[in-house]
Amino acid sequence: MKSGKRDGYPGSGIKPYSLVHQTLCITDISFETKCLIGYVEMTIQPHIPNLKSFKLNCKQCVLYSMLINQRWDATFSYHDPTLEICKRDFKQRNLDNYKNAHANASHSVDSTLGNGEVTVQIPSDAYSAGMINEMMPFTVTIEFSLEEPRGGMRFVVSNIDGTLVERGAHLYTYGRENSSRLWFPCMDSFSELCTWKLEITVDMYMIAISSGDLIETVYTSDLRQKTYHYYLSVPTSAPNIALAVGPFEFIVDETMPEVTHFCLPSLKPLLHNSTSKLTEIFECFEDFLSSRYPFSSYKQVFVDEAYDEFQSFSTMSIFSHALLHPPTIIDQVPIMRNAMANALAKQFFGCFIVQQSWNDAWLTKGISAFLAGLYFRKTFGNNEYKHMVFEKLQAIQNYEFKVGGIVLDPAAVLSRNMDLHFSTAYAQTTSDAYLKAYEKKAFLVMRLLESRLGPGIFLQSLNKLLSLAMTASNQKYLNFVWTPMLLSTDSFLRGIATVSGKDVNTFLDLWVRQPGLPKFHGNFVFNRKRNIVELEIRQDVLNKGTMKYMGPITVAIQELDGTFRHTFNIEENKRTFEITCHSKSRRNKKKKIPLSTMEEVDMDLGAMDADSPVLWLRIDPELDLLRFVDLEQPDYMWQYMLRHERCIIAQECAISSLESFSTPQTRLCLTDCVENDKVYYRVRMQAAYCLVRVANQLAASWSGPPAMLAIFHKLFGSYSSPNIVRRNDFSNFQQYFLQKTIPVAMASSRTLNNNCPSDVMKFLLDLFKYNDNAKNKYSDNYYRAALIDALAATITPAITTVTLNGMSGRPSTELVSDDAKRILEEIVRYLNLEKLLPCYHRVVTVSCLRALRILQKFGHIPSSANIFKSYAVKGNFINVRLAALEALVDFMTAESNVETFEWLIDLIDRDDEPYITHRLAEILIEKPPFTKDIESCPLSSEEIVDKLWNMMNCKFHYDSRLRCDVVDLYHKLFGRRRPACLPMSDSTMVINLKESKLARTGLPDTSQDRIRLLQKKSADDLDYQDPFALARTHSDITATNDSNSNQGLKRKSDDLPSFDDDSSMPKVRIKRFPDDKLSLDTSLPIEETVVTTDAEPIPPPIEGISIAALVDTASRGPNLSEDSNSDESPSMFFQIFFMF
Amino acid sequence: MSSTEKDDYDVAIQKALKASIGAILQMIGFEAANPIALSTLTEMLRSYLTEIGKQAKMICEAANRTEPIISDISLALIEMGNDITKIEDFSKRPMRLVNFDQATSTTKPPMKTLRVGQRPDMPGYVPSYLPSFPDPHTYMSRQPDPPSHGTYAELREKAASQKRDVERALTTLIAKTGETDLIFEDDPLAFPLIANAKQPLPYIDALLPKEYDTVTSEETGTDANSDNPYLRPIKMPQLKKKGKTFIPIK
Repeated sequence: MKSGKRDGYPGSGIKPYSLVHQTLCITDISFETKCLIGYVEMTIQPHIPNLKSFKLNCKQCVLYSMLINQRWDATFSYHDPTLEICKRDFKQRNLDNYKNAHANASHSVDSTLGNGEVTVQIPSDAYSAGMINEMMPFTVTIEFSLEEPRGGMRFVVSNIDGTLVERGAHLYTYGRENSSRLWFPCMDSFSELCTWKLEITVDMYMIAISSGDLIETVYTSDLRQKTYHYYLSVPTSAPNIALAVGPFEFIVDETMPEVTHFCLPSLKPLLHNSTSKLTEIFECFEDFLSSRYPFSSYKQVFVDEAYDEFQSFSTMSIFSHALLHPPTIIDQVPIMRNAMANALAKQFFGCFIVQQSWNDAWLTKGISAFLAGLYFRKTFGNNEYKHMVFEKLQAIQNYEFKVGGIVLDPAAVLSRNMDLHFSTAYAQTTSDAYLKAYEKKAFLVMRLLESRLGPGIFLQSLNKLLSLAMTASNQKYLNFVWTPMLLSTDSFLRGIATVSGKDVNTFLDLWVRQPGLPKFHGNFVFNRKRNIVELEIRQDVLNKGTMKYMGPITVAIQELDGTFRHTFNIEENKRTFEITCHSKSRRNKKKKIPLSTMEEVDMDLGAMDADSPVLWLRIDPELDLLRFVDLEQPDYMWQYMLRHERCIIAQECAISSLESFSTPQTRLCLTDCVENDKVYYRVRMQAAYCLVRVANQLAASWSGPPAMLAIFHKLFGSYSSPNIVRRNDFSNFQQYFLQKTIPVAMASSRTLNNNCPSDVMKFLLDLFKYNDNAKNKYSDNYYRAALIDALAATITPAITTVTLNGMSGRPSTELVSDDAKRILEEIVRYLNLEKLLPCYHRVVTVSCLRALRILQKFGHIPSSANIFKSYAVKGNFINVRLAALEALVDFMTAESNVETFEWLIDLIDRDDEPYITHRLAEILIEKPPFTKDIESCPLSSEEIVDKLWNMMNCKFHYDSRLRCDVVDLYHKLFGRRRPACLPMSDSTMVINLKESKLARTGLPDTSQDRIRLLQKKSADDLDYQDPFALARTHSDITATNDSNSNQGLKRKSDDLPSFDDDSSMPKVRIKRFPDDKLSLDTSLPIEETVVTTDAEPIPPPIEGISIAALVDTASRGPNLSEDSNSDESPSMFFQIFFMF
Repeated sequence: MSSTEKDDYDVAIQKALKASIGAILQMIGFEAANPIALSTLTEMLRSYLTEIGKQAKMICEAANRTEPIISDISLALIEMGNDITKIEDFSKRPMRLVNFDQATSTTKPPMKTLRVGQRPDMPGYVPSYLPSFPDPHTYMSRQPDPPSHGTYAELREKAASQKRDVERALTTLIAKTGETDLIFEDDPLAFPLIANAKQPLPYIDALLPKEYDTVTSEETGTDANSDNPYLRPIKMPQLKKKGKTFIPIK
């Protein structure tokens, strides 16, 4: 798989042909029946004489005819192993087997390797008959139709009366990584570049937007429809082709006429405002890269119920229209701009320059995210950028330490030993949570690389890559000419080496080819005699997701005389370092203290240790490594750091460390931080939360008004009466965010009795009362939502009322406490008001739903799922649905409600909005109702196991993201082994036999398997070294009962029990168990009995032993049942059947 | 005085008199009284008292006064042949009964007259029994008061309460007239929550909030002069098919 591919020309390692040009023509689209028909015409260049067959990717579509050179019918066969991953793999129904089988299935349709679902045979007489000239390109024309697609393309048609325009009917394509095969036959690989012609015929009132430049729009001959002709001259791969059709309205960008924005007619008022900053982003990128935008047009299409926030395809991006916002909304602006910047950055790296294979995906993902990051820094400032970097770092720490290490280049050796429950070798098998962390890590690695090379050099290398690709893209097709448009790790290294003269391979070895992050624990003491600081840095290398780091590390020490940076080399056994201090501890009180930014500040040095000149210390201050640092420092050092260090990452670290030092000094320090308007607003917000937690711990000795009440009054109170909040004016965004945050933070303050103090309660209710947005330029919806959140945060568990006569303490109206009544009143009023005057994004509804669930959970109002269900179904705005689903998951977990659990699982199954099902799965994964470690849970049942297994095994073949989500969920709930809720022991066998029969009857055709085996065999012949191939043969043997054709496999499976003369085994099984009731009394002669349970005495060979006896033996032997999961079980299984 | 008030007044008097008669009868030594007898006695007492009142009034008017004073009543009693010296003894009789639950009629305070402006205080030399000054605007010319402001806090309070009342009234109305979701199963009227209705296109409300005025939104985005392919007119079909377009054989 690896060999030859990297240094060969694109797709040539295995594939003896490549694409030159493809025409996609969609002749008719029906929104009523949700189907379309069309044809593709591919021009294929063979690389070997006498090409016999080639493979294409295609899913869901119905193929009608296939013509070669427009004249000759070609025969083709269709086989898609991803439709059902584990075929009658009954006995071994666990995630490890699934993982292997899923990887195998993805392998066998991976177009980069020359595989595909459709195998086209070129007739043997084609050459002699002159149908195809040797070594000359030929065309393949395939007519296809697509009916009610479940994935890849989405028809959005609402169920109201009216014309299609009124119903907002539109369609668009989507996909995760390479999944264009879901809507048209193609070679679905990023490395398969060709030029494109797209022709889409639509009704008069529709617009068709597709990749490429719109050449012309022509009426059809009956003048009832029109055809959009697009041509894409830049070689592009099929996964980057997209289509959107609908009654869109559009605006042309004022400064760049090549740029067009589309959205549904009803939302047009928002379009201009939301997209006005795109010009700025364009300028920014072209400036950074000193290269122009590689395509000649760009389209932004905003659609309903989008698959993801945005998806980027060549020359067009499809966004969720939930991103659009009126100018009165503040919070959405950075989100919108970030999405636009990321989508546009992907045009450069991801659409124009594409990854050569999945192994190189980190490059395009990393570089595009990095570019978007540069724009982000330019627009929102360096602090915001630093915060984002730190946030991403924390996110990957979270993922790697909890789930497992991320290897950016899955081809790296270690990936095979990775202990994940899914395979990362293919995009289709990679879990979405992993992919998200992966993208973040790719971004961070690019950032590291930039700081390693220097910003100029790094951008120059990117420019080099782009200019090479631009030159290549203008060439006509030739074998090697388009290679520079494919980005692989090797070509990237070469590019960097040419520009900078540096070899960064060791850098990549460390961060790209190794999983995990280094985890440092540091502590230090000051040695007064020698005037040095003795620093010890320990590394955690044992836990999940950690990595052993050896190399340089920077330590910054702030002394009385200034900041000093030291670089130490972490080596194998060296972990203590000595830092010689520059300043003596004798200090001149009047002197100002220089900081790392060269400013000099006055400090109150009273708190520090009189003997030591050290103010604070930081390990790796500039985030030069991807790392986790846990540094031990006394509290006054953290306080100095928060007060005086200018770097916001340091401030944020100091805040999180100070939480464990609840002293009056900490309180003072945090209060000053919240109050100080020179401090970055995010730090102030974080300090506010921390301050409340510190105050709660100090509750016993706390005097005076609740924390931050005075600050709030000072900042936001009106002049004459500070108790009344000022009328809203959000023109200062920092103040706005602070005003939203402080009430929420204050709401979590608690008295000694763990109640919310009445002062805070009154304060919050006053905020509700006096909220006045009449004179504000901006909408206050997020602020109101924050107030509801704050009310929800004040809720503490209700005092449960247990009456003597055995009546349950079910909350009723009489028993609601006064506070809860007031809270409920506000929530109900706001929620009712939302129905009449809905706010942007329904954020208030979302907060109200959350608050209602909290009231339920804490026993103030009766728990019920009905309210949330009405908000969770289709017909509500997406955010509302998600909030309601979250509440339902919480309800289901708290009440162990089987019915709701089934309802939710069914929703994943049947809802047609992919983003909802995906998010619901994510919510369930995040808060699983039970986990594999819990012995028994009423929710865990055989039915659920079957349902989930069925979903991931076959149902969700059309959406790899959802499929992987279900795999994650299954893993979370049941683990890798056999789920505990399934009956074990004897019934294991009975059920398996039944299932095997069902599986048999369900798939009467064994030819599919034969094809699969043949593919395997050929793959094996190609590459003996591939360990996956070995894994495949194993699973094949366990999976394939039909062993007629596994001659080629036996070679590698000597360690498994041979069953040469067992070719009729499956048939025997079916014959012997003709009906579903396992007929236990069917006496069958058994020649020999080799039951290998140690605990059991080996039964003597008996003539006429019945299966009942055998099953009985199995049930009595406890080892046998437990072993059904272990590695021995296949052999055990076969041994038992071998006996028949 | 409205008729109902007058009736109330009568009933109250009737009650009080009845109780007094009862007390007197008890004092004399009766243990029970026939209701008819009781009401006859009450009626007698009532006319007797009315007679005293009338006499007293006449005497007082004869003396050029409008309101009777104590001596008028004494005179009236004497006129009717009573020995008023015995009243004091009667009031200090040993077996005196105190009537506890005397029915009191709720007398309403007199309507406040509308006062406009600040009435000036009486100067020191004016006796206090003289009536106070009338409202200033009735007898002197002065500038109208600037509209009453109240403090900032009061105003905010007023505005907030008004807004809240409007909102509450509106939501309650809708909630009471339409379908509701139940928070408390046992008490459907507590906290009525307007039922959530499915919308065919939920994004319109959520993305175009009503508070946002779409006046500013009409932008001159589509400039007909700009060279954008989507602005170009649609071409008529050419009768001769181009070489590239290919119609598949069905």
